[in-house]
Amino acid sequence: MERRTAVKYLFVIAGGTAVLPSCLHKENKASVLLKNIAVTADQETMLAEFAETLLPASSTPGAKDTYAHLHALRMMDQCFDKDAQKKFTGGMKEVESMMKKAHNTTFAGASAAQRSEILTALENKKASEDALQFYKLMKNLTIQGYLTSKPVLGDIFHYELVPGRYNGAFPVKTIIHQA
Amino acid sequence: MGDTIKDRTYDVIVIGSGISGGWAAKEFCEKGLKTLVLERGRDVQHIKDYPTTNKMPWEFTLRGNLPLDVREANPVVSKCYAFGEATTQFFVKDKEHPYVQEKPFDWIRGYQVGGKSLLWARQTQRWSPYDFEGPARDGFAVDWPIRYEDIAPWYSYVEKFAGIAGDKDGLPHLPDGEFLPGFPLNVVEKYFKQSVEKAYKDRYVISGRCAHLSQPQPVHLEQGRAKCQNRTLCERGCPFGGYFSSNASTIPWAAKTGNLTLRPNSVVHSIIYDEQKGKATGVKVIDNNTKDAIDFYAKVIFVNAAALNTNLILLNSTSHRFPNGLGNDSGVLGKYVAFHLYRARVSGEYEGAGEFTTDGRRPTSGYIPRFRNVFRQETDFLRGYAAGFGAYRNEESSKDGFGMPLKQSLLNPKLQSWKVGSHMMGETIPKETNFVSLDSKKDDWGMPLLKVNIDYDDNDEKMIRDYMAQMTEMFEKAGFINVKAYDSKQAPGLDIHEMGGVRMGRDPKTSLLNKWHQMHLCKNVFVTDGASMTSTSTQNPSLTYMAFSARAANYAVEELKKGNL
Repeated sequence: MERRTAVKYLFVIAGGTAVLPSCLHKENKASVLLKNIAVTADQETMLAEFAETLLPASSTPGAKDTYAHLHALRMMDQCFDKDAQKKFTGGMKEVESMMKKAHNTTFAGASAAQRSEILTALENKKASEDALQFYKLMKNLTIQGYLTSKPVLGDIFHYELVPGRYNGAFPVKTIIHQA
Repeated sequence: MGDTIKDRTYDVIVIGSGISGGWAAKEFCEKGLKTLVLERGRDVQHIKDYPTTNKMPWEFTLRGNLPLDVREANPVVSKCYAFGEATTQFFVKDKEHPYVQEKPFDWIRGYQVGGKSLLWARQTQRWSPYDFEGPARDGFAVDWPIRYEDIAPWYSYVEKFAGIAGDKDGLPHLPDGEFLPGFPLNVVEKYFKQSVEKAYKDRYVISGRCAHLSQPQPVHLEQGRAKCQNRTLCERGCPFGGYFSSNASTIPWAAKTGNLTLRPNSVVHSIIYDEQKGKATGVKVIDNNTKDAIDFYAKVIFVNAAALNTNLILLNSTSHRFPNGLGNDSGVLGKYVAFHLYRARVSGEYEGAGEFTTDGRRPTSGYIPRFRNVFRQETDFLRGYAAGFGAYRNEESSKDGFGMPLKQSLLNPKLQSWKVGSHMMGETIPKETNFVSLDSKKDDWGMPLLKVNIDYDDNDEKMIRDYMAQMTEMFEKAGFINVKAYDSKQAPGLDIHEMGGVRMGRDPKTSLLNKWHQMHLCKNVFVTDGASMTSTSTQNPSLTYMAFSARAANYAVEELKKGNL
């Protein structure tokens, strides 16, 4: 290794050590860069578990395997107006409060059954307006992120960038879905 | 490049590198003329400058969606179907290049080498004798100074080089061309074809002819292009050169001759007119980066800046001789602008053919050639409309519930019944009251802003109603259900088929260009893009611009040889 390069690496390592702790522990920031909404690392974990409750891993990928919760965060941050963003972050906190009230725990710390109980309430519209708005947005975006992810669109549905063919009379019975 | 006048002198200057400018450049360079192509935008080189072309859907940060701030900052271009996360780099953003909408007009532009030829919908139907005869027969605009027979050989010429996929359909009002094998209609489109052709003696459903290499010929391979791979991601730029664009085809072909000088970032301010010589001597350019003015000189100037920008340049080319714009003694310049009527759609569903679906993708769809007023006037409106027609099946799944049932549902979508859809492509009547002019405000390059005054009229409204009624009837006769007609009320412009303003005609008092696309009053200036159109027909216009450009360029070469220019 040339000296110049070695020195450069040294700075990177030193700089990294200096920066990492504040980044991870003090600021408690989400792992994706957000410009318009404030979401902490803890809240990101809650969203990951929420998405996973919507679409759990089994023999096929779950929401977390596809980072669908991060897609939801990016979309909320960049593609929605202030009003929707407020409902999303407000509703997210209300869902945490629901869990706290029902089981005195966090969503991330709750059992699968406790999480299911909250999602059942949301699915049956037994929650505040903001919580329901959050649920609608989070569910749609999680589904969108999941279905357009590589593990699902690529590996399960075999999306083709280059089909190289068109058959206008393709027999239905030859379609095989493997999921 | 040196900086003497000699260094800035060429045989020919072509303003614009889009679909028509690319063709002019190719013809001139092949004939050995030193050709300068001025492009106002940046360079876009085939493949190298298609940054998104090979990206998978999951590689886009927002999976194809546009951020809200981009949509809010770009209310006009955001309406374009092709403007998305994968293609923003090829579209003009609203704020970068303002214009004045005296009436709502969605002006969609692509300022780069290749222009909108990178982005077009690639549908290439020939015009017919009935289109060129239209204004004379129906008494609107002025008579075209040419007929189908004049342009037919040039259609063949450009079709062979560009590569057009299509079927020989034998229709007098949609002439066959030099086709590569057509893309097939699917099973429901074929069913609709049979139903329509049985129920009506004068209505047809065919496969839309398109500029895709379904079976490349040696001339296409020589361009470095390969077979269309059915990606239908065309607007990103095609790494196979599967569809025709200036970038994949005419520009590199012209460059290979050694006679091409391509100058991107060159905003044309005006054409320089010399009163002593009685002709144009060159072009004044504002460098996009430095904003410096530079003059370039040539014996012949082709204006191919895209319809409305060609109007802008000519209106801005004022001199003592032509105070109202180059060649504009008649006052017709900027007027009689027309477009295509794309406002209405009809949709429905079909419960038959359940045993079939489609597999793979296809770069075209069905096409219903114009059937109204083709051979004689039959309705209470002038002219008529063509229509697109497509049938497809979606897979959908319930999004109810959560957990394993939701996941199972999403991963096992159910094939829905066939959906069918049609959109109209109507001819509009060029009128003096549909015009563009110059605003007193100027842009960052010192060019006056273009003011646009273009609107629909009663003829358009009647045509929209007729299309909705006729297509509904055709759908219902075919047994389609849930048939719905829809008028989007979209503003003119979103069709991206604006035409006219520098129209061709026989009389210098009522037109700007003669039958060779040559300015009546300034013989060494030619206009062969959409601005030159006397009327609009119903067919997608790009193929006609290509044929016009090749024909006019070859005429200009002959005239140069004879010393007439």
